Amino acid sequence: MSDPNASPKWHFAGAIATWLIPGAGHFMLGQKGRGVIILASIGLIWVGGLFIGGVGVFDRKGHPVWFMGQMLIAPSVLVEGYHRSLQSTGGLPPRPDDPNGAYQPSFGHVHEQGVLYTSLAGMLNLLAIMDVLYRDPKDARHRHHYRQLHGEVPPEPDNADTPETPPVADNSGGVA
Amino acid sequence: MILSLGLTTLAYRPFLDPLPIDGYWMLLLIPLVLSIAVVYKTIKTDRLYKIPREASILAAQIVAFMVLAALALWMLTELV
Repeated sequence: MSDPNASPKWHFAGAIATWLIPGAGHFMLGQKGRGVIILASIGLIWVGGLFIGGVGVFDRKGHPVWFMGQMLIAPSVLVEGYHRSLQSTGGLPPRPDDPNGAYQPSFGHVHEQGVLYTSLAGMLNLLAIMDVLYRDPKDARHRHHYRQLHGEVPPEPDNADTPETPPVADNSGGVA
Repeated sequence: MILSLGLTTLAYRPFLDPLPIDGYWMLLLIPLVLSIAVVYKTIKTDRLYKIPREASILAAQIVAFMVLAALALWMLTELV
């Protein structure tokens, strides 16, 4: 029988996968339910921020500190590159009302909300990365999962994820 | 106004142009708070079925403290 404590604690590949796609690291570790929830939550606010403020919310030169939060999700780097290419080349699809309309980045509250959404998505992804990167087998959230990996307990449905151990019956009689 | 809104909608290119939502930007904080609560509780909670209840409580606490902080700051600036 293998010792759960001997399981690897550090998961660098999972952390990189989480940086690329939020929730992917949890999925790799077998915690599919947790991975799906993280992907849905972080993905929703990241896409929401992009939808609210447009590609202009990713601006490494305009607000470098916020971009440090945004780049904690890998696709932000790609979108920022696309934004820079739009600014430099002007290669935008024509506006329906004005074919020669120049690109106008967001500003004001809308821009702030877009930046806030995408930066917070990145910082929440940092939490997920840290959760995947180091998993203590002694932690109740992970202990059962390690036992499943080592075949000590049968696997459970995806939505059950990391169930706790059943309560132990009290045979002491309960008399003080 | 309707004409200008129509022109704005016509000109809107998703993910390139910003949404014309300057009037009710504060409401956008609610989904943000919900997402923060869900992700935090997803990482911290031992069993997934607990997430909806615990995330709802955390989101309500965050909103309540934001309102309290706003009230305190308003009183500080207006009454003091």
